[in-house]
Amino acid sequence: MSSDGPVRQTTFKRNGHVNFFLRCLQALPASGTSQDANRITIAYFCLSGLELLGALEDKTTAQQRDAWIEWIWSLRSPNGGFGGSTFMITTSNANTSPGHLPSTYTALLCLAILRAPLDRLDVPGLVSFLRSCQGQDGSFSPLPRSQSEGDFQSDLRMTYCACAVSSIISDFSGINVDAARAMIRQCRTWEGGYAARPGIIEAQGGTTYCAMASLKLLEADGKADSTEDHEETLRWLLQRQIGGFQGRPGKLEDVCYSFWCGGALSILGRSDLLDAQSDRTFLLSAQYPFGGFGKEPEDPPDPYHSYLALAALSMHEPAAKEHALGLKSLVPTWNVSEESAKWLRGEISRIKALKYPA
Amino acid sequence: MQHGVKRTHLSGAAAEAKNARNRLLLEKYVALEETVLQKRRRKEYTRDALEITNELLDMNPEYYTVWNYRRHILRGLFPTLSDEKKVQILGNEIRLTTSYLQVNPKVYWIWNHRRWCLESIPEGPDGSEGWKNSFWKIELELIEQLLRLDPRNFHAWGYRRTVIAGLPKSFPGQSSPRDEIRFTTKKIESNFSNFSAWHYRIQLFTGIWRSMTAEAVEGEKREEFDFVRQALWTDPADQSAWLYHRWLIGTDSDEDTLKSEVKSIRELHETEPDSKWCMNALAHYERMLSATSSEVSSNSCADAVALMARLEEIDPQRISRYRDWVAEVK
Repeated sequence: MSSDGPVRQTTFKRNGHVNFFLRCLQALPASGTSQDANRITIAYFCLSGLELLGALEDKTTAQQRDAWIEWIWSLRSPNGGFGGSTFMITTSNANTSPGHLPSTYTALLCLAILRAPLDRLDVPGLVSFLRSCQGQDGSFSPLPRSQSEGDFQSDLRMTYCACAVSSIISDFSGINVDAARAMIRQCRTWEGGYAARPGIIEAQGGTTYCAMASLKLLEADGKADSTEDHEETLRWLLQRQIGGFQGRPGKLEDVCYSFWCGGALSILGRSDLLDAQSDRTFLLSAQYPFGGFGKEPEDPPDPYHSYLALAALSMHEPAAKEHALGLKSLVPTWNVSEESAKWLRGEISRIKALKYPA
Repeated sequence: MQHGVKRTHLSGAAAEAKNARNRLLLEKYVALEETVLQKRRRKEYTRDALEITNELLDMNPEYYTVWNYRRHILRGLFPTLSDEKKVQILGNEIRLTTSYLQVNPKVYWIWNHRRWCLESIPEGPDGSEGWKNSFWKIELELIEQLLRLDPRNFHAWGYRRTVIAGLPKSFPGQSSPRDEIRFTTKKIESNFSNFSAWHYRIQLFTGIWRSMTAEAVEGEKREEFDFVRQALWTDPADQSAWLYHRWLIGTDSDEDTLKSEVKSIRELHETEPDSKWCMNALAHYERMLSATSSEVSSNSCADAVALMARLEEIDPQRISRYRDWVAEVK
């Protein structure tokens, strides 16, 4: 056995990644138990990853996809949202089987990726679910406020999920938009980036993406908020590139920040300012020899980093096909392929016209 | 997902044995989970139930519904217990979360449970705040330990803020914002590259200065410029101090402050000609200067643009950004 460790990857290991996601859809190793309550989100990483790789239809069967679709529908909570895993929704009582905001976001995207007809979707239920998650200060909890203890974990990640779900169902009536915007503004730090919550914590790549994406999605309600100047945010994001991207000043590169920071830059319309070549080199070097991506080179892979690395690479795809990796293009605000986003918009229109005619 | 755990390459029998162990672990986990959820559905708020949640949390401390269930059990048990007994049980809960935090210092659910325990400590013994004081002492020690291990753990910083804000009135050693600033000074002096400490310092001064006169604030800012200058000269490659300096300058520094800071940084630049932070700062401040005074305007501008050209060479990753900046200036 060589003592040098794995050689840094430079070629794109497409088949390895496809097989990695397929394996994860079957089962995760014991190290994945901490994610047991979040299976729908793991499913989203795998399905969206396979789709970006163009492998979803070829490498999965219609029966498998139908079974997954049924499983996702079984995650619906009586209160309108979706739970994270089967055992999170065990009763018909909304109090003991509440919807979970991030899981609701990822469940909707999974259904879209699988092209599941959405006739069973309770759109008014989703709207009231969102409403039940928002607090007086404009922040959102992962569970309905009645289930949550205090303001615990009500941070920008939840705001993003609420904005994304509203955008997907094309209905912002479940959100107090002004309060949400005010909360986002309060999360901005002196650095120009955005922290998870107002107060003393540092701005971070992930929550800065959540802020930028949320603000962009909230523009859809017709009231664009152009008062905020994002020059400092832009500068902060660009400073995060050190080859790949770091999450905060002084920290190490981590592939997920290539998406969080790269995605935020794309939303700001300034992807032209980052160094795509350096980022691509770092991302490819973080590939695990047998597929998937770890957070950094030589780390074992997991679905979260694997998917976000591909999402970041997708945003770097050059126009010239001969230099491209063959990844589908992505909508940075929803974090799903353009094809699935388009299908989802169409399907939501269809069921709304059918079930809830104006 | 386990970050930073290196996978070793096993072959043949060793790999089989590892798979077998994995399978057993997963079977045990699934069985345990079913038992816990059953008890929860039946609203069993007993000692036994508490024990079982322990076992499950040992395997998966991120299972938030189980933490919720645990609190329901405790709330169910408490009315029947004396305050002494409650304190003993809360002490166990704190110890449990301590052991989990050593391994998982960034899991929200664990911090949350600990916070709940603190909030649940009764008054006493005998109308004093004795119990609260001893728990709070432990909190401050834990936070100190975690920050020593990872000075950038924002969960620990955030939790510290909560703990400080909730200090019992009789706790020895109150912590006012000024005391907290001294705390950041200590952290910074032990390691200048401590972005989280500089960051916290900014939050504290922002709060304190809000209620002071402009003159008093200017006086303190001058002291802060002296303080940060030491860090800049000690390690010009570390960005934390540069960012702090930039915050001090802000958007409306007067011409004299700008000029004196530019002068000081130029001296540093002479000893560190390739310091990208130096050059970034100089360019930014020269640009600000050129906006304040017409006599320095064209010189400052030219200096700034020249610095950007040099930055393109030593920091090629941000070449597009620097060109963009120059285009804006022109």
